[in-house]
Amino acid sequence: MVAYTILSGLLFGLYFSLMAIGLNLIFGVMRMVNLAHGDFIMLGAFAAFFAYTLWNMNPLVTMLVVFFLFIILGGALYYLVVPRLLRAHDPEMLSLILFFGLSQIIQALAVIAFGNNQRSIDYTALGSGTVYLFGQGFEESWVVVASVSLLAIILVSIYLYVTKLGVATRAVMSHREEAASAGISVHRVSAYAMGIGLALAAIAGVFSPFMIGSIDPTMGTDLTTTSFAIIIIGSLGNPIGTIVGGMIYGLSLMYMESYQPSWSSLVPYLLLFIILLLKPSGLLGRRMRNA
Amino acid sequence: MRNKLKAGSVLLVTLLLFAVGTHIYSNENMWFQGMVYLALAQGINILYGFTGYLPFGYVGFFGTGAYAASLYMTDFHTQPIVAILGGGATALIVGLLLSPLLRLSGAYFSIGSLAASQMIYYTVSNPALQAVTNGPYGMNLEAFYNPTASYAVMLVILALTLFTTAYLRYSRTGLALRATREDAVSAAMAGIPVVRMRIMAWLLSALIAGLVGGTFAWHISVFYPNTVFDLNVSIFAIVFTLFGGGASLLGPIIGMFVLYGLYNWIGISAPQYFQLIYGVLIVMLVLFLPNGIMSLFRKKGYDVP
Amino acid sequence: MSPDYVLSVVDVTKTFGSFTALQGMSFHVKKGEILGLVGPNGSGKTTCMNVISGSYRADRGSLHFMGKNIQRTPASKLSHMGMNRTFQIPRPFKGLTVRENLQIAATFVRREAMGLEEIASFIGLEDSLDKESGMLNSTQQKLLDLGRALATGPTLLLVDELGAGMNPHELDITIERLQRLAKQGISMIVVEHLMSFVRQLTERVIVMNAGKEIFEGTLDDAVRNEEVVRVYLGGGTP
Repeated sequence: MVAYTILSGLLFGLYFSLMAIGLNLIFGVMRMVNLAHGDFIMLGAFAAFFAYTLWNMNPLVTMLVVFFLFIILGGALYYLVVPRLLRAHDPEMLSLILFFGLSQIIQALAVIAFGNNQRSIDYTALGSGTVYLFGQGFEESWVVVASVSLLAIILVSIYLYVTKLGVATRAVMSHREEAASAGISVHRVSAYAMGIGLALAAIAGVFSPFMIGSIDPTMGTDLTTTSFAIIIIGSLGNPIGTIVGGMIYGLSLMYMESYQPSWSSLVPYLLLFIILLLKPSGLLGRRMRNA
Repeated sequence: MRNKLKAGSVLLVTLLLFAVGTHIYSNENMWFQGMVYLALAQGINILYGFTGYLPFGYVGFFGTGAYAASLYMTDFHTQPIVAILGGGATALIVGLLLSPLLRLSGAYFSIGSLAASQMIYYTVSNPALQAVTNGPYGMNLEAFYNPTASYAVMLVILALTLFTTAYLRYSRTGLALRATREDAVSAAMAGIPVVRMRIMAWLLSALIAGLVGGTFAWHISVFYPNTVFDLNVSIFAIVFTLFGGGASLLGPIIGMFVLYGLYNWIGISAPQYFQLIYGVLIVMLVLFLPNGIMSLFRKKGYDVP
Repeated sequence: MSPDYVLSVVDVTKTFGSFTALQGMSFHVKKGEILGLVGPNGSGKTTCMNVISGSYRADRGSLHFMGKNIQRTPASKLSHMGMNRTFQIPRPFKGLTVRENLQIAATFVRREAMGLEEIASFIGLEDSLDKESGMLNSTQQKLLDLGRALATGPTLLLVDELGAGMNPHELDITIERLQRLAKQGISMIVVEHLMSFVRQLTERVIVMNAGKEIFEGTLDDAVRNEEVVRVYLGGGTP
């Protein structure tokens, strides 16, 4: 039981890291909290649902399509609203309200388009077998999703630490003004960050039917708070620090579900609340920032 | 003097409308909910409009007030009015416990307050606490049901709330709160006890939501946890305030009449279309009119109450 | 400690993480004196002001204002005790009118001070009383900061780069105004890059570098001091 709880906590931890990493990337670059984050996850989930039920498309293929679609969508969204916001008196608060409005729009459109029903995908779409890890059996889909999540996080790290655009992104994250005066196009870097952030949310959405359960158009609000909790636990503004938050969250959730199931829905909020009050920059906040 | 006259007439007209409203249009429930949302919008206004703290979890105080008042009625057999006061007091205490949230700025506060509200919700609705709160099965106050009395009590609470906002709009206290919103460091240098002032606004808004929640519970008499902890309650109150414009008496009133009117016209049968409209409205407001409709008039030189 | 010191700072140290912003600063300000605080960018002048005015808390050392220990006194309390300041980047309440800006300070701090109209004409904003302060230009906003400080009837005024961005005419007027305040017995610490401004206002300056005091005396002696000259060669001449 203990080994199973820990291992499933780690598998889900990887998935939760993927779920939250886009929110952290956008926050790190723009200092804006994308309150519509969860709604982009929801859109990814419905993409997976329709692709699978209409064309029997494998979610892994859907993931690739969705990824590129949302990069374009995110870039467009950036140029549409963010430069205007940054000129305002109080961009932080206004962006929060704006993304909240966007979240309402997406939810409303989703209800109009998809209907307000719970949907689910046949869980065997990502494999129906059982995978044994350290003597414990897990659903194959969990292991597939965890592996893909890990791969995605590694790719994000490579992007941030190896590619030219990624290095520029990190420069903007740590010293926005200096980066701009060093000739980095802050708008271009931010537009990419927004695109990649939304795309990562959407691919997390593609896998959500296998990890979170049935999907519906209003699922986004809870996912936004969960994701925010994860990046707060890990390290706000440091995408790679998200993985720490994801792991801690995954483990605590699995622990509660195994031993105190009726209280498990409290977990993200309780963690968020405690960390916010104790250390608002995240558990790894300062150390990671200095590194 | 002219200010008092203006604020007084706004107050009077609004209250009169709710007092005689049911004779004009007989849907009593609609009028009652209108009062609920107006009082909550003014509660948001006191906190957000004057101090800049936007509480997404505002509904937590509303739900707390509803549950506390109900429990005082069912378990302790108190008079409904006493129970409602108890609901307000309970929300006030919860507000006091949550006041460390005010150390957080901007987005962190908003999301922190949301987390707090969800914690209260998941605790109250937890099946493990069924013996105390009846868990997910909600409350039943049918034994106390009295729509006329509860309507009147709601009107009184609304009057007090509007009066408080009018006071803040024209007093030095309100001016000082707005100063803390503009610049906390300068406010401190101007001798304003910034932290104490913010906590005062926070507790005041918590008290209002608690009283409103208690009265709401009494009026509808049967409810579930997800009725009184519904995030849409926060969202509506916030949108009404944003639409009209904060730090004014009239802003949230206009916001409530226009948007709640719209909601009753198209929203009840097709809430998603209403949600779409106010989502678009929020985005447009942020981009083009961040201080609400009232700022249009203010720019023209009118002193809006 | 001599009773005619309005402010005395003894061995004050302030660090941010591994960065030491102030190291063992010690000085005092006499009644009615204007003390200049100069030094290259990043030498710790503004940090010093922030520690004195209660925005930061010193890690070590002691701070006394009017004979009282103010090491743990919050900014809002200090203004009641008679200390106030202006800011390098002006911080008026932008959404409020000039009148409201001044009113707030006068309401919350009940000390003997100039009247509202008097302050407004002293800072040259008597015709803009009902203007939203966010609409003022940067110089006017700085002067409004000064006006707001004056409304609290200060005994000690911290003036942070008030002259930066002013034209020569405005500078002359500002110098004359500050001298008038000093004559009324208000002590001042003036942080300033413009040396002519400092020269006309102060008898005594403290030169800072890398969080430490490297010189104390008249500005004319300072420019002949070897260390001061060396420090400034990197960041321009005084």
